[in-house]
Amino acid sequence: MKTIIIDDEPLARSMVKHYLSTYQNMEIVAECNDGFEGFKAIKEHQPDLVFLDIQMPKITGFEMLELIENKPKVIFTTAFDEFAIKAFDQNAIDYLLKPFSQERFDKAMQKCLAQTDFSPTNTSNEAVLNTNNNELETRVVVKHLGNIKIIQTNDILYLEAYDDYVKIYTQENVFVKKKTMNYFENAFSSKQFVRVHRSYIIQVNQITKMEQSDKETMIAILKNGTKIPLSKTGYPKLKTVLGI
Amino acid sequence: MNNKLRIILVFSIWTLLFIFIQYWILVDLNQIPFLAFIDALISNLIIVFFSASLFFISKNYQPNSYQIFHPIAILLAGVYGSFLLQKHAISFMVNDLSYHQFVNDTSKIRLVYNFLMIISATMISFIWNYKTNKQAEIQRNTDNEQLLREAELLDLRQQIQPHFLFNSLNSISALLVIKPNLAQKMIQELAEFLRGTLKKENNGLVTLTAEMNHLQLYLNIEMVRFEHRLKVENSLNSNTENMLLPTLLLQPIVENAIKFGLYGTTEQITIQISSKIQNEMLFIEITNPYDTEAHHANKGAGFGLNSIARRLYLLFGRNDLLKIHTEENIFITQILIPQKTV
Repeated sequence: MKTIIIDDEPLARSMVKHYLSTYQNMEIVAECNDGFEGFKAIKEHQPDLVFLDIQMPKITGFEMLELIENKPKVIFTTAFDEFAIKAFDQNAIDYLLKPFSQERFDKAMQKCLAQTDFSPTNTSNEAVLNTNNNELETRVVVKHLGNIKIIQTNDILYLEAYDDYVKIYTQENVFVKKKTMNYFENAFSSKQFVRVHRSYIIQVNQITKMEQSDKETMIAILKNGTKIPLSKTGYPKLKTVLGI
Repeated sequence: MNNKLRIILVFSIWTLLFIFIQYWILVDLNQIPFLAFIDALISNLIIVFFSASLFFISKNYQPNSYQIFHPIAILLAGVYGSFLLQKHAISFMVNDLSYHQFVNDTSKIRLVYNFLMIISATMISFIWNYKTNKQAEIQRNTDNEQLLREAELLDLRQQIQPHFLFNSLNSISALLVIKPNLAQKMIQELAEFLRGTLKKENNGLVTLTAEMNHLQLYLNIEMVRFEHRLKVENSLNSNTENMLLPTLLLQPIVENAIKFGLYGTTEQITIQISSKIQNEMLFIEITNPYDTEAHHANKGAGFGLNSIARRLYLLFGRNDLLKIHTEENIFITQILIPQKTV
């Protein structure tokens, strides 16, 4: 089995390496300091198992994992106990709280080896995620031209549904991310972002005016001139947020 | 107690004064001085007794709108009761029938006199009690504020971050396998750092040297964890070494600097700590690189420095002691510590 260890602390990596040394058929193909290196290494080596820290430079372990299409099996290793629910929601094999013992590590490995027919699904269970994760996202991590790009939510103009993806519009560019509109509706502050249409979520302070486009429909015009249709349910929602 | 003595003194002077006034009036009305004196003495002592009783009743008495008649009834009963008692006491003490007649003739005046005396005594009691209650309340409030302030200061003196502790323990766990000697050193440093942080006295001032020694323990641990990426440069002016600052002030600032430095970029980072004297105050500057994309400049809140600012305000009553600004991708924290001579 090919495995990669991703952690920004060398000593933490050597701990995993040490525990792993008793497993003969495990091969460590890469060690990474951060999510960027991790992302590249996973793409390059297609490992079976990844040991992943959560709090790392620039992007978190979760954010890195979101960008990967064929997800390997993941064992999270972290000192933070508050992410356990989110970790299992990402179909993690196990969640090891640092510092952990050889026994605890072996248990995680047994789970991993038992799940050889494990086929990770890319659609994470959003219902669970959204009810348990009350913290709102302040940024979105996307892949762009082979690189990783971090977008601050403040810089997002609006979102548009696009088959299985969502298009994220900023001043400079358009990015796509494999998530649902419902995910973003819940992940962002409902005072800042409003689902004005089945296919659109807009940042409220990007709106310059709203007008009647024809008898039936209202549209919102953004600062950059984009026109966004407002649905029958979306328009009143937007009015409530704007306080009119 | 001082307060009780004062009450007794006031009542005594009051009584003596009115014994004298009544005696003087009675003598003026051609009564025999000896009888006049007995009368004045008995009348006023009885009034004092009733007034004092009403004073102690009113002390713990909380008037309530439904019971408006109770105090009035008690007061009138007091006035009439004291009058009857005076009359009988005088009859008992004085064997002069013409004086008895005189007492009967002056009943109305005596009633009015008792009424005025007792009502004024009661009013003074009320004012007195109100004042002492108010003072006690003010005292309680200041005590409360002091307690709150201390609690807040203790709270602001940032406690150890659990993540730091767990990650350090994890590093030690790894070192035990690779470099047992270093593990021992790190355990000792962690213990010493924890001991310093858990010290009880929360608002003491320490010298910059002492604070830097404590900080160095923390930095040594962080350097083991992030050896490959973290560099710390100290440039402390030697004339600041014995200047005073609130204990455990620098560590949370440096912790923040390291956090935002390490998590803001994937490169190697350098934290700089420098000190000098500025306007007779201790000036300390801490710089760290930060992620310009993730944090917009002058957003201090994002850097967790609010509690430092609040702490400095509570200790020195000034809001201008903590300043932050950015230069390109460098985040600069500056603090000024007044050197007050206490």
